[in-house]
Amino acid sequence: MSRGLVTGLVLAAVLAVLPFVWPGYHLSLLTIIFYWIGLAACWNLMCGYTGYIDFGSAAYTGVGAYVAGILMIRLHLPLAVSILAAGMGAALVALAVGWPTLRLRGAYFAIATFALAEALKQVAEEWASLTEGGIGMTFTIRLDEMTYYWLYLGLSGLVVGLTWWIEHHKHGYGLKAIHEDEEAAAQVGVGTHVLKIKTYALTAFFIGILGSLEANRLGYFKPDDVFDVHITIKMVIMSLLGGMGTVIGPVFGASFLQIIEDILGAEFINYYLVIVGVIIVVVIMFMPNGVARTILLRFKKPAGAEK
Amino acid sequence: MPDPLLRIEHLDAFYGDVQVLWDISLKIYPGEVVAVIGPNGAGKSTLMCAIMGLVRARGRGGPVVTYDGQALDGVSPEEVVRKGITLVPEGATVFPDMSCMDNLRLGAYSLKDRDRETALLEEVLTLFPKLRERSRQTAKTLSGGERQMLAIARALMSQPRFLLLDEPSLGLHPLMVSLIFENIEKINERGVTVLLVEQKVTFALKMSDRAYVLENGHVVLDGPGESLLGDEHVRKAYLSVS
Amino acid sequence: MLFIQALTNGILLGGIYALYSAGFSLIFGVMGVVNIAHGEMIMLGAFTTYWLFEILRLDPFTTLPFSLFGLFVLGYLLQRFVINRVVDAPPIMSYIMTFGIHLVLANVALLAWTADPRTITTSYSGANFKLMGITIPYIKLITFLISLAVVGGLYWLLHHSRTGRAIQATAQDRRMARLMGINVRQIYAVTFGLGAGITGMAGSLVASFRHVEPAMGLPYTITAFCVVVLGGMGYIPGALIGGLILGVIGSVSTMVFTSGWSTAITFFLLFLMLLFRPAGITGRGIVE
Repeated sequence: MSRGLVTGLVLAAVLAVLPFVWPGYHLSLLTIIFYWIGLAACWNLMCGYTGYIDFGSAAYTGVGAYVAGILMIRLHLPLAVSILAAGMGAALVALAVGWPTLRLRGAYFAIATFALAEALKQVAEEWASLTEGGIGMTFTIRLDEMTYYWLYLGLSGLVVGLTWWIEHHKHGYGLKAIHEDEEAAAQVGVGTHVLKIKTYALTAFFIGILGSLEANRLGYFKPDDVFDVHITIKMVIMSLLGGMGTVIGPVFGASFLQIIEDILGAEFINYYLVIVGVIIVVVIMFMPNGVARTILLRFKKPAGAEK
Repeated sequence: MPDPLLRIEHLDAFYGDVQVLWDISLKIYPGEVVAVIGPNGAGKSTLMCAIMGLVRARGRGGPVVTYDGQALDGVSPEEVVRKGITLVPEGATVFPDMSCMDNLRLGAYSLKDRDRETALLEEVLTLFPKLRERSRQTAKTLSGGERQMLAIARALMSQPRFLLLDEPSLGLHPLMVSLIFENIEKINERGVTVLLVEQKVTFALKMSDRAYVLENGHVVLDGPGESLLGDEHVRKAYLSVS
Repeated sequence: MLFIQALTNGILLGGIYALYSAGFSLIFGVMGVVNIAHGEMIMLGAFTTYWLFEILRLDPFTTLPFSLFGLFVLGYLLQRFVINRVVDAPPIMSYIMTFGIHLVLANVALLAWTADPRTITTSYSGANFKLMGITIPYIKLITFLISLAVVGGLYWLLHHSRTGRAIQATAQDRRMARLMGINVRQIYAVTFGLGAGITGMAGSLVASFRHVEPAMGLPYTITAFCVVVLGGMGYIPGALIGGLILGVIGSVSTMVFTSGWSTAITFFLLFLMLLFRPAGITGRGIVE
């Protein structure tokens, strides 16, 4: 453990100092990478461990952006307060939506959350008196480049660290038990419903904070930008490709994918989505029980099985 | 002595990683009623499932399950049914949300000669008049005994040569139990070979030509039904209660 | 009077909602697969009609058999060779896989046909007639009637044909179905093909009065899901009931609130259903 800790600290120090060494374009890329690592890690924490797929994470980047936007732009509240409130707002919405949906089959949660994102997008468009509708909101108060980098670095590190902590403690065993066999977990006394909701709200909190910071960093946003289904799609893909249900997976998935996107440019997004789609389908075709489990099964002697 | 209709040789069977049956060998001749008795968990149901191809089984070289001269190893359950073996699993499993009539029609799904379906329906409903009354009702509204009759009737719709019955009397009222066993005898009289797994040891041994005793996944005893009724071990283990 | 018009519009709309939701419900009811790529079946059906109209000048309504057949084949093959592998795996795998299929289909369509919305205009596009003061567009009426016929036909097929009974049996008890001699793998493929085929037909019908574009799929997937939750997942008549309810509510709320809020209202309705009555209004839905 201590060796890992030392490596971690060294890594953290290196990353913290990077903006001074690599300013400008590279800093911008790194900032975006850590933003996505943060998001992917959130998605992974919820879905990778509970096995409930969320297709509506963009709802929370949007809620975060608009709560911060309304508080800062209309009510002139300070940035720090607004960002925190954004996270709280997202968490509250998650609690409300998670309560009925997380006690049902995963299918309901998946599409209900997707519908939520689309519905909130529409609310943001229509309720112009609150949100400026399709015109969008503009932040006047912003931070400097390096601060965003450090914030994203810190937040993503926090979420990844949280994932690590949860993986190794009671909360995590509970989550993994749910993923494996929810009924059995409930019978053994794992408070499954509450655990799922807590995890969902926690990740929504961070997604809200990240979303609000990014909206602030970009300066201007519209409902289409912050409630965009492609945000969710990216989070899903980054976690899947990096390795769902692992601590380090989202880090690799997000870095890799974001760098590719940067190299190829946004016009190629459709091509790479096709390729990603094909990879997902092919991988699952040959490893229907998930990558990790299939590899594990290879090491067990097959004695016989029910067809 | 004619060739056995079903021959099982050195069968080992598993549920997942757990071995449930060890070195099971048995023979069933055409036209017989053969019973398999033994305590709960002995593997009797697994044996049935192994014959149907629902559970993976392993032999010791050579075919494990041979039916009518053909090896059944690796044959899918759907195919096994088409060869003329039908299983009525334990628990009166009918399709709950379909009518009795539809359940029966489904039984005839594997029939090679579809025109026989109407005639078979008549035969089966004559054998089980109660079902004729209930034919339009949804299967889940039937009583336990009626559902068991439906399950057996449905199995007959596939015109099996060989019928496997897993605990047909389970959970049934004593009057129902006699009725069920009477019907099994009638079915056998029509030329259907029957393999019967049963808890009601006296009934089972009385009506069977031969029987096997299965304990802890091994065959411990076999012989003619009547003589097993008189066997010391069987009396002590199974007949003091039944 | 305006209300009656909205009601009528809603009912007519409800028919097509029912049609493109029935396939979704069927597939879920029989094999437990939530097809995230459902909307793409609609999109492909719509494009089939569009291209046949553009290139061969075929009347949109005559293209229905093409999309039915084409999407049946696509669905059959998809299930048989791709999706079948996850039928026994944890459900999450089927969501991810169909999500992957969605990505491929939507983006290949985008690359092939560009994002430009297409429209089909025929001689009768805007034609309507008046019945007791209510305006009824011909296209919407025919669409409604065809939708009812197809959903009814599906229901009939499931309850009065040998294959239909086999499908029901497989949905109710898979192991028992195999013991009847039913080849479950084949049945799954046929079911998926059937679901995809009628959904494709719905797409063809929609092409007559909506824009056709590669990204159109996802909103339909959501609506289909809402319809099916309302009516009960896995229960075909429920698709009709859910469709009519959603159609009417959508139409009436458009009248009252202007169209912008319809998704939000639909979602809110969905949310309430999931909170209080997840098995749908009919109570026949598969919940857990």
